[in-house]
Amino acid sequence: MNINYLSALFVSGLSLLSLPALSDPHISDLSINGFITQGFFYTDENNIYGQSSDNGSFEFREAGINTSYRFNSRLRGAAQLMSRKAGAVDDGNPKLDYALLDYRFTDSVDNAAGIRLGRLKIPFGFYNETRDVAFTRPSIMLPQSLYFDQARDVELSIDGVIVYSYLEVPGGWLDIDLLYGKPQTDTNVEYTYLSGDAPGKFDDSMGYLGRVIYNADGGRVRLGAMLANYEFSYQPAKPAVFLDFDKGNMKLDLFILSAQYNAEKWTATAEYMLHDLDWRELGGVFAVSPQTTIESYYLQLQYRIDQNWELLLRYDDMRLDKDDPNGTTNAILFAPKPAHTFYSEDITVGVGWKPNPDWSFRAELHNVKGTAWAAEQDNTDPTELRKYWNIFALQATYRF
Amino acid sequence: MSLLILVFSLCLNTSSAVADSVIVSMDVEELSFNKNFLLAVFSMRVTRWPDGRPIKVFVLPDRHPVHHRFVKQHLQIFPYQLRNNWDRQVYTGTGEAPVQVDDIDEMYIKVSQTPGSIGYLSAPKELSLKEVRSVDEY
Repeated sequence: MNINYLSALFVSGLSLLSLPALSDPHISDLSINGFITQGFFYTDENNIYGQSSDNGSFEFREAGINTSYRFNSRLRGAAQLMSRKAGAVDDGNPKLDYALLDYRFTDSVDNAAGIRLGRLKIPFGFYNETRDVAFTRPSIMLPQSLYFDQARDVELSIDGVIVYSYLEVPGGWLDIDLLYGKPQTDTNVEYTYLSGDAPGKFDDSMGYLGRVIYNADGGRVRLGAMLANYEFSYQPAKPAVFLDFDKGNMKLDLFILSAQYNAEKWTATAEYMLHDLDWRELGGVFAVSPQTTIESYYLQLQYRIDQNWELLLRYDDMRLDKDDPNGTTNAILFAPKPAHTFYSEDITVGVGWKPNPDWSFRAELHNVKGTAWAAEQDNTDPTELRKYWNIFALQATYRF
Repeated sequence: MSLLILVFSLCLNTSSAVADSVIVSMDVEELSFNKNFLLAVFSMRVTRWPDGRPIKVFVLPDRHPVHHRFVKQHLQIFPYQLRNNWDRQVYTGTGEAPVQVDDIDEMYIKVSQTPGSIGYLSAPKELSLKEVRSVDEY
């Protein structure tokens, strides 16, 4: 499914359905929302979102505009355009973030269920769906162990279909999402999973995913679990080049457990992820390490002083190879990459200020050991990466 | 002067809203709601009335004291949770945020004029309930 298909879907949907809806001003409903974010990053070592270790980097901007339209009581359409500039990882070109039709079969408090079709945000953990919307983030940078920036294109959105339900159960309700579709495949995916811009490319992909979140006591307690399986078909370069990968499928399996407690003044959140990578069919450099499991987790505390001010404390931990947590074996296998490129430990403190509902400002400090999620696009020579580094970040956001 | 108008309007009223009442437009058939239904409606999870017509939800600004009280006492959650739910839905295309009104007077007018609508009023602000209906909660 591509953008042309999606727009065709939309035009046909509009022409079929909008006429009766438009004639009734009480049923039809159009809404438009947007936001713009500017960040600043300064690092003492290593780079993030541009050449941040020189004099700091302003190469971090996010802007989005979305619209939704209620055709009738069962059918909605929604779309969002998104531009993101993030150092050498994202160039800022506007992309269709999501564009979907949502049909609700049943809509009662014990079971509200429906289907969404089109380009969809991936319901991955608590934060992935709105990872680029600063107002929905607890911090400037999401915990990179789970929401690492390099893999954002895989995690961001998918062309396919979601069946969803809000199902009442004892003590609360379940948010259920079952997804099947085709994840995006671009060069950043190669950086993430093939450690660089590969000679060939991923020319096809498919994935399915299921997420269930149990919301108890009105959402005071939220417990989630997610399982996903992705396959990316690698097509070697033509004509063949030296040191290319073999034709075949790279397989990803993801498993996430999420938990959150929402009190009036504070929110505690924790998520744990296992991310299995299987490169066996691709061979090449990965023949020495054909299967690995990334292990990630974070623990996060938000404290709301009043309606303007909020504090954040977080510990975030990532091991690129669960069986080699300190990277010693991998450093030998993948020389000259240093051992610290195989893990990251990040202690974050932050403060947020919302002078009014439309503006949000944040400042945060990251004390980081390891460089597992330091983007290779912004740090082109892995031997120059430093094990210990600090990030200072500022962010301003306006929404309308 | 405003006090005079208030006293005058009080005298004209036949009935008045009790402490933070949920109100609906006159065409809504439901006479009472349970807490789960209210939470689902104000969270924008449930979008249709049992008769199939769309629900139009009106809320006061996040920082309005009546909004705070209503969310905590009637929905039994915190306003930031409601805002998080709306933001998640709006920025994923999976749902809407309610329509925000500036004050109690506008709330009354919008609910009275919009078929299938729901909102809430506070106790101190006495308003005629001729054009909207207060519903029971259980």
